[in-house]
Amino acid sequence: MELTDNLNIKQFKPLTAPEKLKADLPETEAAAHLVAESRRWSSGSFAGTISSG
Amino acid sequence: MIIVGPCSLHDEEATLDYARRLLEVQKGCSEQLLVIMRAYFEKPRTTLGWKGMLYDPHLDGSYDLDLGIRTSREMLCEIAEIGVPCATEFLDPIVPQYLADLITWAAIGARTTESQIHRQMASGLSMPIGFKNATDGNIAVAMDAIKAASNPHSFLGIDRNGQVIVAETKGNKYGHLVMRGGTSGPNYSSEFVAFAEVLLNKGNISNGMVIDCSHANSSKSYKRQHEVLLDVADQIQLGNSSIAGAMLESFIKEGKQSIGAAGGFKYGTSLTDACIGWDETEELIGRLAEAVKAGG
Repeated sequence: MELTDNLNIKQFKPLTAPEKLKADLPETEAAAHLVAESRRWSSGSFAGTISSG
Repeated sequence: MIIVGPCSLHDEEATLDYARRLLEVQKGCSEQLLVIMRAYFEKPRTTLGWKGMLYDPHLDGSYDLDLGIRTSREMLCEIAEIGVPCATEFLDPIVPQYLADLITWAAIGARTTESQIHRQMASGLSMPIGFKNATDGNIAVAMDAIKAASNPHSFLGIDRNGQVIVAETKGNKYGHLVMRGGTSGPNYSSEFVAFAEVLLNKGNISNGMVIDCSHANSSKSYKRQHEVLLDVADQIQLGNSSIAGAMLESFIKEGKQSIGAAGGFKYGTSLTDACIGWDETEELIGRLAEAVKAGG
């Protein structure tokens, strides 16, 4: 049967799954706190700053 | 908030050196500013070129993506351990599953703001998302993106185990505009900011904006970022409250270098867009902090 798909693919390579990479390089508690805190600051800095009046 | 750092990351030693310098700057202005480091691993290219460390960590066209994703995460973990929050541009919709837990702020680029795939992805991301105006300067495209991403979507993706799934999102209410200029010229001045405020207001978008001092706002000349940032600082000092942040492309040394240039790599110098150097960076962050204090 004549092939009709993947004609321009040379190779499929496996990739580590996100969960495995995160297990190898976990986010520490301090990092999680830093990210959460800075996201709150960031969101708060622009939320509602365009006035509706 | 100031989002500042190299156009792209490629060297661990210089990256961590830069992050430590930023931490010291942050300590001096923590009442006025949140300093977020640019940690960009995916680079969209106009035609061809190095696509960033995530795609090509060996910088030689060998595209070892497995290593690239690992190295990118490793760097984000190390920067977080130093105590500096990171910003990135998400390009491939699979990548957030690997890196998003370590990202404070993310951008959808000028070339992808119009893309439904990226709007859907943004609707499920956990951090504030800045949508850049289109490369021609069109703001309406970014406003459409903000609205689209604030709503729930269902789309194809992967889960934490790499399993192909349908992601059902809640919508991201922290989408906002990033003014980066366009082919029609810069759009950082107070007239353009006021015009954007009117459009956002009309479109019932209440989130303020970030001004990108680089790209078309600096007419692609890195040295002009200085005058752009000073103008933005003046606007803030005069009481503007819709500008929530600014973005600078900066590294330890000013300018840029080419991959494979004779003499090897120069330490702390950008491999993609040219950047301002460290001393100028420190000075500009100081000026912005001063403006926030005076305007606040």
